[in-house]
Amino acid sequence: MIKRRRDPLADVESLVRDVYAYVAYRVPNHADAEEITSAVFERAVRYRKRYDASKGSPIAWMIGIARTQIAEQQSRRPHGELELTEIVDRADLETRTVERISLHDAVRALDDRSRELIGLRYGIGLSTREIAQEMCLEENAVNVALHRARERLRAIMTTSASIETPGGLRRGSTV
Amino acid sequence: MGRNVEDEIGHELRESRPIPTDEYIASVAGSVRGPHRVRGAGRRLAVAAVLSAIALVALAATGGMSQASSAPQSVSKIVKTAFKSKPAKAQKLNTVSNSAAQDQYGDKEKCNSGRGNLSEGDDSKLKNPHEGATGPGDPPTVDCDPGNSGDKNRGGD
Repeated sequence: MIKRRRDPLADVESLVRDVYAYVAYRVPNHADAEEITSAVFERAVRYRKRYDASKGSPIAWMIGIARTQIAEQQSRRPHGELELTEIVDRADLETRTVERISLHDAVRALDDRSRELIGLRYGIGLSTREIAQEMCLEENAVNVALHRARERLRAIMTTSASIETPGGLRRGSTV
Repeated sequence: MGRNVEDEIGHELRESRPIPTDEYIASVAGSVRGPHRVRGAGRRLAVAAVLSAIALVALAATGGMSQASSAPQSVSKIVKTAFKSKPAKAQKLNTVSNSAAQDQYGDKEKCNSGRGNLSEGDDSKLKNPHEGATGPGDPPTVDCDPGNSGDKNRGGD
């Protein structure tokens, strides 16, 4: 098979935005997201000649590198995943006021697989078909997994809103 | 209901997509584009290689190549000679052995005449001038002593 030559980092600015968004949905904070994104591009520069356009798009190649980097980081920090109660406690440590957690905090309370799906779908903007190819799943399975992830997010935010104002408005609900 | 959740949360997730700062994007993009300078250096190297090839072709056309190729051989010859020859022989002076100047004096023993006392130093190589024939004529006799050289006056009186 002939290797198709193409610079995968030709449109680097767009790639930085996509990779950062994907990584930021998967790791606990922005500092980690920046650190991992930098490591991803460092590795991509090192191995850019090995990129084969016939095997996938540049962003798919970058996602593969990002996954490895995230796994390495998580192996170094096994407590990277935060529980919902931790997030709420951290936010209100000083004021003792329970605030409604942000959507990003809710995403961080999801399991790793759901965060990956959210990152691919809403961070990078891949279609369910592309996600299915990326994760070696059926397209239908991707749709079901995304639906469950969204339901879980909604449940987390509902819980948070009920803590803030019992009987009050829920985040995301239409007034 | 499910579609509604997709619309609300999906829309919000898209809208609030994490965005890196412009400074961060610029720094990463700069580090990615850095190696392109190396590619420029590669081009310069290629130009240098082409120019070298042209120079070689020109040398070959004018016969400079044969001269250049023989140069290492002569150098190796010189080095071989230098390492083969013994240092003592290499420093030996080239002297003429049978010259007219050497024939004039012949191969004679050294005489001690006028050079000091025989008892001093290494006298094994020196010859007493009063022993044997060292020159023309007879060895000195008692008769030819012209003055008072002993306890007796051997003069005519």
